[in-house]
Amino acid sequence: MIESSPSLLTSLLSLPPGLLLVVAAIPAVMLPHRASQAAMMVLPALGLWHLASLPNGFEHDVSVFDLTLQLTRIDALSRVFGIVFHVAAFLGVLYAAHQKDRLQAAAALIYAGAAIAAVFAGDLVTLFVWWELTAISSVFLVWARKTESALAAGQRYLVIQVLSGLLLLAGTILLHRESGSIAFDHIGLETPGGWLVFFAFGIKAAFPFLHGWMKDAYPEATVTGTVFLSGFTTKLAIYAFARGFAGTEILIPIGAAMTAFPIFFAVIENDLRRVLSYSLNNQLGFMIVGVGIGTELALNGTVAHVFAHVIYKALLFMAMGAVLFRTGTIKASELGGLYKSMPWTAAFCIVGSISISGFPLTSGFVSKSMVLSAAAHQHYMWIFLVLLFASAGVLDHSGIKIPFFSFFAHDSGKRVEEAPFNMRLAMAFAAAICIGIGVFPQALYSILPYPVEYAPYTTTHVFTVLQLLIFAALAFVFLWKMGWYPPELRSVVLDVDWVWRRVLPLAWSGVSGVWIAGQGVFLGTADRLRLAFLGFTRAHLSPWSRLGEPWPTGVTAMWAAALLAAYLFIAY
Amino acid sequence: MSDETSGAPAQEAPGARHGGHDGDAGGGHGPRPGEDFWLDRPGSVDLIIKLLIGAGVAVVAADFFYHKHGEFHFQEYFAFDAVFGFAAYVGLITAAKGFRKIVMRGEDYYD
Repeated sequence: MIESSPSLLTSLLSLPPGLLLVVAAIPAVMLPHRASQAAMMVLPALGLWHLASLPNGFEHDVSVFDLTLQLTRIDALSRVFGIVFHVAAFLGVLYAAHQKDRLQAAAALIYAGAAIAAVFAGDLVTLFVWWELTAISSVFLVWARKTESALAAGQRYLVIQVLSGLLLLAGTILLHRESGSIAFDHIGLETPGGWLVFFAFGIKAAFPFLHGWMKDAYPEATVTGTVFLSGFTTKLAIYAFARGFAGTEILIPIGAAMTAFPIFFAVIENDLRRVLSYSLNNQLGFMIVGVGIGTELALNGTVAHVFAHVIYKALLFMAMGAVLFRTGTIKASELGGLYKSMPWTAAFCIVGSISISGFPLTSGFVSKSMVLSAAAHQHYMWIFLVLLFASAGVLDHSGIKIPFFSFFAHDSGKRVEEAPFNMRLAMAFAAAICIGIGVFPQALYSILPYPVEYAPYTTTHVFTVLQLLIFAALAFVFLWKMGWYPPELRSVVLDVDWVWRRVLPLAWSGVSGVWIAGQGVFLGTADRLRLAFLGFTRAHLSPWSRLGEPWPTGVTAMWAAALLAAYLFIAY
Repeated sequence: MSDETSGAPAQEAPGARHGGHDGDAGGGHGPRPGEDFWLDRPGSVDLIIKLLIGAGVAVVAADFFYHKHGEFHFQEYFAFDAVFGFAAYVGLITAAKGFRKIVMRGEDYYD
């Protein structure tokens, strides 16, 4: 009966892509394992088909109370994010297909669906709903690790993510009061509401000093959970900036800082999934710079970089997840030599590494360079140099450190099984996309929001990039041979999350210590005063004291007579 | 292969053993008897390094054969990106080593 009603189908199709994943997630995971895995892989494909069926310019409004909510808005910008999110969801589901944790599977699908639906939200209230659902669903991917540290990291993650949502809601209310509109178009920083929304987005985009949640929580998530996490939350924030704050100049220095500072942490961090989290933060910097520059080339570059990045970053997290899955550790100090037992994983990881480093014929080469070119075209010389420095840094932490310390370096003696087939298949698909985009960039360029007049494979570009990367690699060889490359040490590296994991608790225990001490002094003093008062009254007013003892009648009568006499005297 | 995974958990739930895993669990370091990997042979790594140096020389030599186009004048200097890449990398690693002295703590710092 449902199938026979075309108008119902039409109205269902006007709902945002992504909603299907959210509502079908729980039924899908309730099926027997194989059927469930099949259903979960079909869902992203169905979602992609749904998106393909909706033309650019499609809008669908519903009225709720006094508000008109735009549940669905398809345009060139949202479409690219929708496509890559569906691809990431599919890769994640395939990578996790061996797993029988239903809760985690449902959380992952709902999370992916919410992120997809969020990019099609035409107003800020709808965006807020999906924004918060991504936060609430994704925390289960951290908690599913079921360790104490994951539980604590998940709680910290959730607090910060929900805070971002509350800022978004507060900003939306202010914007509505200022302009009477909740439409999610260009927002800008002209109003207080705009600033609140800016910070809401900035938390999710892991701005400097707001980034602590990501390096804290992502490495604590499950093997498969981190693959999902790496795809959606931060790129949703990039989308939101591209929509609401394109050309906002303050984003340029912020983004440049994001490309540069995480790489110092990435060099010395021992947990390789945490290294990848810093690397993710660094990649977001390139995108934020592009949004800040705001020209068509820059925005195209940002969007292209998002597409390339989602895939190669997922690939790198998949490879490190496979290592963690097989060996039980992801600490560089305990790994090495795994190419001997996990050659496929090593090969796929290297594809991810050269892609993120931006070698020619990989996706990073054709996407990141658009942002650098846009910076150069607008004559941001220092920004350009920072981005170039950060590109050399990417080669270190993601290009060399990740594959080198896990699969090569000193043989740890670990001999394990190769990653499960489904994991290898997911990595193979991701690797194929990385190379495919690098070899056929037009495929990616054709779906970018603006017409592309950019040619990545010029002689100058190919040779300058090769010079930069090969000589950075030679610098690694030089430092390694000299024994100057910092050894991988079992350690933690302090970052801004130190503030809320150490300083604030200490400050709080300091404050409560002072409070308790002050309370003691106050109560002690009050008690002494009370006792002193009691002693005084006892001494002078008790039945045995001078004032308190019974007086003889004659004395009382005399005092009464004296009082009356005094009264008469005053009355005259 | 499977008889060699004695210490390393082959099918274990990954979350079950956060921390406390001993690097020697595989039963010793280095190549094992009976293994023969090309990378373990003497000279293999040196060959890779020589190839890398050769590639470096080639991409710098290429600067003689075409005119570079850059938005900034320094982009057109001979071997600019090679020098910048090498210097940036060494600078980054050196700075990070110093940075480590400030921010590195023991593994159980937050426990």
